[in-house]
Amino acid sequence: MKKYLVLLLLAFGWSYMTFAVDKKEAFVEKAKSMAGHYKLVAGSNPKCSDGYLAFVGDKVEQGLHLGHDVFVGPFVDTKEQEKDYCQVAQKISFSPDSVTQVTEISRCPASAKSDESVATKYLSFKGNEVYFEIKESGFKCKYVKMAKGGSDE
Amino acid sequence: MNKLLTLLAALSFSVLPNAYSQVGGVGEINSAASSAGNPPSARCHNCRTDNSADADSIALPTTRTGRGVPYFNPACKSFIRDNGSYGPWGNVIKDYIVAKGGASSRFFADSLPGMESAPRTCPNWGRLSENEKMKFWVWMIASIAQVESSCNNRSVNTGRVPNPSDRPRGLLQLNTLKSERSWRGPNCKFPSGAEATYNPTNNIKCGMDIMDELLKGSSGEYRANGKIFPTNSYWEKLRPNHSSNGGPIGRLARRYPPCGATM
Repeated sequence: MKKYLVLLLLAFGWSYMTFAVDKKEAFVEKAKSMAGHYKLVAGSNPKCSDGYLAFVGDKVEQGLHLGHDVFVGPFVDTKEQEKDYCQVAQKISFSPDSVTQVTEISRCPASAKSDESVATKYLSFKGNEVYFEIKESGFKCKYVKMAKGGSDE
Repeated sequence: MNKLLTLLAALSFSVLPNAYSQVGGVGEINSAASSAGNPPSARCHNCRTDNSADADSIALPTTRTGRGVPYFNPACKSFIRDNGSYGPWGNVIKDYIVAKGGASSRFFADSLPGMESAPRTCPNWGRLSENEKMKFWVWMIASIAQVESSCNNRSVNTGRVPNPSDRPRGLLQLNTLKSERSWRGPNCKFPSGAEATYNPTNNIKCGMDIMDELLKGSSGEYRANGKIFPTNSYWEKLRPNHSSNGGPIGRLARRYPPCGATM
């Protein structure tokens, strides 16, 4: 009986991991197809601005950015106690057309106690649009892909 | 005396008609002269010169000289001292550009967009010596630091920021978290934390990486227009939706005397 239970757990674990990898791969493919110049159509903050959507240095694992202020990555979960600073934990999850990154800053020294916080970034694709949000601050930007080329001015 | 006058008259008749015949009269001479532009000067355009004395004594204006005339906080003297020499922060910029190739780096390129063309950040750019160009960049980064942090290297934005887990810090108000900035350039990979981000050397070198990427234009990470401003820069005040001429940063940058810019 125990053997079956272990096998069942392994099977569940394997299928969960495969499913997660599939979702990441689907997202990456989607993101690649969405690369290009984007125009801001709605934003809650002056930090939202037109920009180019691409993987950093065209390397998927480093993350995805749209201009300077919209960034999700790197695409790996981490948890580190930074020297003379706080513990920084990042967790990332995918769906075929969205990515969510949760960053938690904790265990800070007294001098940086005010940095303790959580930030949840969410980036999604819909049609030829990109939507980005940081849930805790209400920072939201919505972009539409420019037909061709695009300009910085 | 008569012989001399006769000789002069003969010469004037033999030389001048030839000169006129090539351009077809006084009217055309005037026309050709006016279309030729300014007379050649000792400081030709796109020359690679190193008139070391030109920029040496230029210091940042740190006192108010008139209403609406921008000036730097005295803390910015760590970029350029009163005697015109570079302070420690200025030397970080100089060393960065030298490591990138100095006069042959993109920071010195005569064709930098937006310098002589709109918005004419530095109309004399093509005539500046290498030392003047180097000092322009120190002045430029000092201008950004003045507006972003008043040149206070321990400045932190405690207001409402897009990402409260990653408050902008230091001279150029950069990301506190390494994971949020390491993609911006090789010098942006210093550790997370307040102290590491306050460190002026870390802050300036990462800022120079961002500027370097901007200047790459369409081949850079941001696929930008290659201008310092207006462009969708990391620094909000340099963006087109904020100002077409760099806003308060542009006004400070235009005070660099060798550029001959108007505010």
